[in-house]
Amino acid sequence: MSAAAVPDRIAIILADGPGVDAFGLDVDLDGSAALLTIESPGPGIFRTDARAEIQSFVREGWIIGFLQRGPLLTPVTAPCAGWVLAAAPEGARVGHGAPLLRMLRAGESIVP
Amino acid sequence: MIEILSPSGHASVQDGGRPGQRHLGIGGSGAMDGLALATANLLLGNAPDAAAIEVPGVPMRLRFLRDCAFALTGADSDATLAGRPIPTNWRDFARAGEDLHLGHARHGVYTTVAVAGGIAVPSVLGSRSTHLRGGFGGFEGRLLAAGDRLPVGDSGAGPGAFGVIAPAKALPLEGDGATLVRVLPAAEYDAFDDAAQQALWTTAWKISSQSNRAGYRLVGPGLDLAEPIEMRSHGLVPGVIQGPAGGQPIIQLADAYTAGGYPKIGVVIEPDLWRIAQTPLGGTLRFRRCSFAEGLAAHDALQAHLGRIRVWMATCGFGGLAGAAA
Repeated sequence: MSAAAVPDRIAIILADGPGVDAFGLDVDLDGSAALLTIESPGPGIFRTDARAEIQSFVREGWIIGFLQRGPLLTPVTAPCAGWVLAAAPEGARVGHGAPLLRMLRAGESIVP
Repeated sequence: MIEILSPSGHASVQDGGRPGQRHLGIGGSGAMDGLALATANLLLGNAPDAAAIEVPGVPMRLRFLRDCAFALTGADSDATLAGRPIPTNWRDFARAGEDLHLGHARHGVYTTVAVAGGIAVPSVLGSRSTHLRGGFGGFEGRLLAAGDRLPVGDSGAGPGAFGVIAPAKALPLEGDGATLVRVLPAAEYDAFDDAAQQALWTTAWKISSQSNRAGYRLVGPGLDLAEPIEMRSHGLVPGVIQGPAGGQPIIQLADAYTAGGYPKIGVVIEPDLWRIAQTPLGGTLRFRRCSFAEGLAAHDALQAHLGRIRVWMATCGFGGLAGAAA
């Protein structure tokens, strides 16, 4: 078999049915991860954002959570388009580098 | 410049109010939620009472005609900037040509849209607030309409995004499902009968649809005087709860008349007026009796909250983001 027959990325549809939006992703087969962990940029209290619920689709730069210090909130933003898969508990005390959120990166062909 | 693309029914320019004109029959006007205005201005490095756009809970779209730091406080109205969701109690930065869209308010009523440098409409009698009844101040003395272009003052505020915790979390006052506010007995409190005095403190008062910036009419038991009294018109301030004979109470608010003749049963303390402003029509209010000292302590607590934001902005290095005045 020639190397050209092997795809370098595949698209997976995770959910598609009546009343359900297609929920899919591109998976690069060259080793680049489709799963991302967003780490805390510093110490603080993690606050979830009601607009970035688990499974919601976000675009690059959108706010997906907050780090609270005193009365101030600094944004935790999506590094790419994709889906929020998991978040640290609301109100969790976190240190620098602590995992705050997990995201599934959307491939370019899937971004709505 | 900011251009209003589609106006919310009753959006207007409001600042910290127009003091010192009551003897002329000119009320204070100003933001319904003074805490939201002060917070937004703090996040932008504006003067605390700089003018902003007050949007009462219905959708609105506006366009920034130049790069501009802005802040959204008060009601959560599902805002987006060029399609990007923007939280409430938040300061962010818009590029020239970007549209800000506010949806229906989800929590609260009045959203404050403030810009770095403030809305630079002319000051009339010491304020940029729109005096709706008089038809002066604000933008051409009227509610905002599509096509209006609002001037924005100068500011050194640059890009950057951060926010603050919701005031209801910072200054909690549990009301058992209703909005709880603290009330001082007013001059004619003792002239009301026992049932009326009791009802004032125990009723979950519903805010009627006959409510606006001038005042909220409440639905609940009628308040009767122990015996009829004759009163001359007297001065009114926002927060005064009037009890028309046998009728439903009225709370005077930002656009209150300067004088009235109904007996006053109580007055909501000024540091709690923002709580009323953010309670929707059909929502309920409860009154908790407080002392003058408690009223002053509530004022101090509100100022301490703003002071804490100011200190943390400096600590976190956001002072520069907020512009020259921070």
